Amino acid sequence: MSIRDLLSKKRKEIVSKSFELTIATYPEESQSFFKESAKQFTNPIGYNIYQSIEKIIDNIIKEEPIESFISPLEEIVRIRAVQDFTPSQAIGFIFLIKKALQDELEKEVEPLQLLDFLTRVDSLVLVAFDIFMKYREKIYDLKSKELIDRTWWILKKWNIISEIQDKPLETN
Amino acid sequence: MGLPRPDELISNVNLKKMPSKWWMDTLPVEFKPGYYCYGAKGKNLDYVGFPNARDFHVTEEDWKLPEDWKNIVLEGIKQRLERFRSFHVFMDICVRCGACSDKCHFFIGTGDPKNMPVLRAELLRSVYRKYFTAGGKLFGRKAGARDLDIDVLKELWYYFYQCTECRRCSLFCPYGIDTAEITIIGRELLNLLGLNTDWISGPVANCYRTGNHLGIEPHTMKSTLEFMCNDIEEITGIKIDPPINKKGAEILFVTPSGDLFADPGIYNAMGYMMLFHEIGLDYTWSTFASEGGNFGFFTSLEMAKRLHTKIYEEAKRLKVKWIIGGECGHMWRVWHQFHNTWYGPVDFLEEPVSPITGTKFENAKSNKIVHISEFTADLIRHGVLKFDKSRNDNLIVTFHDSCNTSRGMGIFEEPRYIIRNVCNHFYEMPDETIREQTFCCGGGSGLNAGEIMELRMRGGFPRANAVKYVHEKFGVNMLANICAIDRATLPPLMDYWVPGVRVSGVTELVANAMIMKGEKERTMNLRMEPLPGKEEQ
Repeated sequence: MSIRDLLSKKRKEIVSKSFELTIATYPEESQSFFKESAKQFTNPIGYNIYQSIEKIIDNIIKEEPIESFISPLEEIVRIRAVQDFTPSQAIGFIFLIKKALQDELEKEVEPLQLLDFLTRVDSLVLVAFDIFMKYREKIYDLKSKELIDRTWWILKKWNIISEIQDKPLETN
Repeated sequence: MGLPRPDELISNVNLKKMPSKWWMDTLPVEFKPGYYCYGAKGKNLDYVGFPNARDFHVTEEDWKLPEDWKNIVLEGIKQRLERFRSFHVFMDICVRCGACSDKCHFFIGTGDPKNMPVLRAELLRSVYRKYFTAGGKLFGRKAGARDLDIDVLKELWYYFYQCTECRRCSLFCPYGIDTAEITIIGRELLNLLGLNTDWISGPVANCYRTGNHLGIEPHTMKSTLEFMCNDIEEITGIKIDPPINKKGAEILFVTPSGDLFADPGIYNAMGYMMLFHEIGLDYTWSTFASEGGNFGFFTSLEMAKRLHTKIYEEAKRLKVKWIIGGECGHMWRVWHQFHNTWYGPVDFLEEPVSPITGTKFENAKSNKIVHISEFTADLIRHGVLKFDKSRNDNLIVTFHDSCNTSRGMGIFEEPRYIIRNVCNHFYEMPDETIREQTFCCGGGSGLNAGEIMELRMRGGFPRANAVKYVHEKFGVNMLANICAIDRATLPPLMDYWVPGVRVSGVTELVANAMIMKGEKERTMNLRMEPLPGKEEQ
C-alpha cells in the first residue's frame, strides 16, 4: 500500500493523535476544555487548532504544495505566538504531528521511504518559523502603531509638524 | 546521540490525566514581558494621596512594601468583610462547581487555570479562609487555606490584573457570585500597598488634576473641539461653535476623553457635535467634567467616588437640568451601579425629558443621566433625523456589545436600532458571543496598556474569533461599539486576528448618514475618506 493510501486509511487516527499531542502542550488543568473542539465560538483555541490540524493532514494526504499549508499553520502559530510558550514550543507542535504520522506509518512503510516522507514534513517547521516571526513582529508593530495613533494626531492638529498636503489629481 | 528528539525537546508535553501539582504549589509566578503591566510611579500615587507612594518595578525582587504589609492586607480584608456583605458572601458560598471556569476570555485564550474565575477568586479566598474562618485556621491546606506571603501577594497582583472585570463569568454562576467584585476588592487591597499599575494610576492622577485621564487642560480641550469643528465644516459646509462651560444650558454632555484625542474616538466626538447642532440642542461641554471614564474605579471605591464627583458638582455649578453621557463602558457601570449608593438620588437635577421629542426617560429618573444611544434612538423613532444610508454603503457592520453597557445595565437594542437606521448592511455575530454573553475586548478595567499587547491579543481572541466568522461569512468590515476602551483596544485586536475590519463608534455612523440642514453635497466621511460613489471626485 502506498503512503498516500495508508494515510487516507489512517486519517482519523492521525488527526486525533496530532490534536491530542498538541493540546497536551497546554496546562494539564485546561486540556479537557481545549479538547472540546466542536465549540467554535466558546472554545476558539480548541476549535481552530483542530480544524487546522485536519487541513494540514488533508494537505499532506493530497500532496498539496507547500503554499497551501501556510493558512492552516498561520491559524495555529498566531495563537501560540501570544501564549505562554517559548518560540521553539510555539512552533514545535509540528514535531508532534510528525510523531503522530510516524507512529501510524512506521510498521507498514519501508524505513527509507518513511525517512524521505518525514523529512519532507520537517519543511513545515521552516514555514511555521516564518509565520511565528511575522506575528511576533506584528505585536511590536501594533505597539508602535498604537503609540503613533495616540500622538500623531495631536502633533498635526497643533501644527507642531506640518505635512505636505495631498495634491488633487489633475484631470484632462 | 546526545541530542534529544524534537518531541522530547518540547518538554511541556504532558499526557497525564490529572494535574501533577496542586495549584497552591505552583508559586512563584513568572513575570514575562507582554503579560504584566508596568508598576505605578510614585509621583502619581503621591498626587492623590495613595499609600506607599514610590516607583515600583514588577520584575524586581523587592517591591518596596511597608514592613507591616501583611497586617495592612489582612486588616483591609477584615474591613471589607464588615463593610460589604456581598464580598463576605462571595468569599463563603462558592461550591467550586466550575460553571464559570470556561467562561472567562482570558482562560479561553490562555488555558492558564488561574485565569478560571473560580480559581482567580480562590487565590484570595484561600487567604480569607486562613485568617478569617475556623475551618481554615484549624485545618489549613486541607480546608483550602494558605498563608499570605510575598509569593502569594505577587500572585494576587498578577492575576487581579489579568481580569477585566467584564462579569461574563457571573452570568453563569448559579449563586450569582460576581467575580468582578472580587477583583475590585482584590485590587483595592493591593492598592493599600501602593501596588497599582502605571496605566491606571497615571490617568487617575491626571483626572484628579485636570478633570480627565489624558491630562487635557481647558484651553487644549477648547482648541481640540474647535479643530474638530473645522474638519466638520470642511466635510459638511456647516460651521459649528461648540458650547463650552455654558452656564444655564439645559444639558451637560460628558464623554470619555479618549473621544477627544484618540483615533477613531475623535470621529465620534465630531458626530456628537453634529447631532446636537442638527437638532438645536441647548447643551454644554465642560472642561472640568471632561472625562466620562473613571480609572479611579480600578483602584478603590473612594477614589472612584472622588473622581466621579466632578461630574456631579459641575452639573450643579452650571445649573443644567440633566446630563447626557457619551459612548463609554465603565462610566456607565459607575453611574448605573454605584452613583446612587454614593450620593442617593440626585435632587438638584430634573427628570430627563428630551426637549426635541418630549420623551420622558423614566429609566433615568434617579440618576438624571441619559445614554447617547437612548437619546439618539428616541430621536430616530420620532422621525426627527433624516438619513442617507447609502453614505455608509461601503460598510458592512457588526456590533460588539460592550461588557459594562450590556451586562452592567442592559443596553442591547438601542445601538442596534440606530445602526439599522443608518446603515444598509448589518450582521450579528453568533448568539453566544453577543448581548449579555458578549466577549470582552481584552483590555477593559485599565488593561489597555501597550506593554501587555500579548495579553490583550489572547484575551481578546474569543471576541476576534466571532468577528472573523462574520467577516468571512458576510464580509463584515466595520466593528461598531459604544465604548471608548473598545475603540482603543479593538483596532489592534482586529489588525492581529482579522485584518480588514475597522472599528467605529455608533455616533460616527449616525453623523455620516445624517442629512444636515443646509449642508453642502458631502463627498467625504468624517475620516475624510471618499463616500461610496464619490471616489472619482
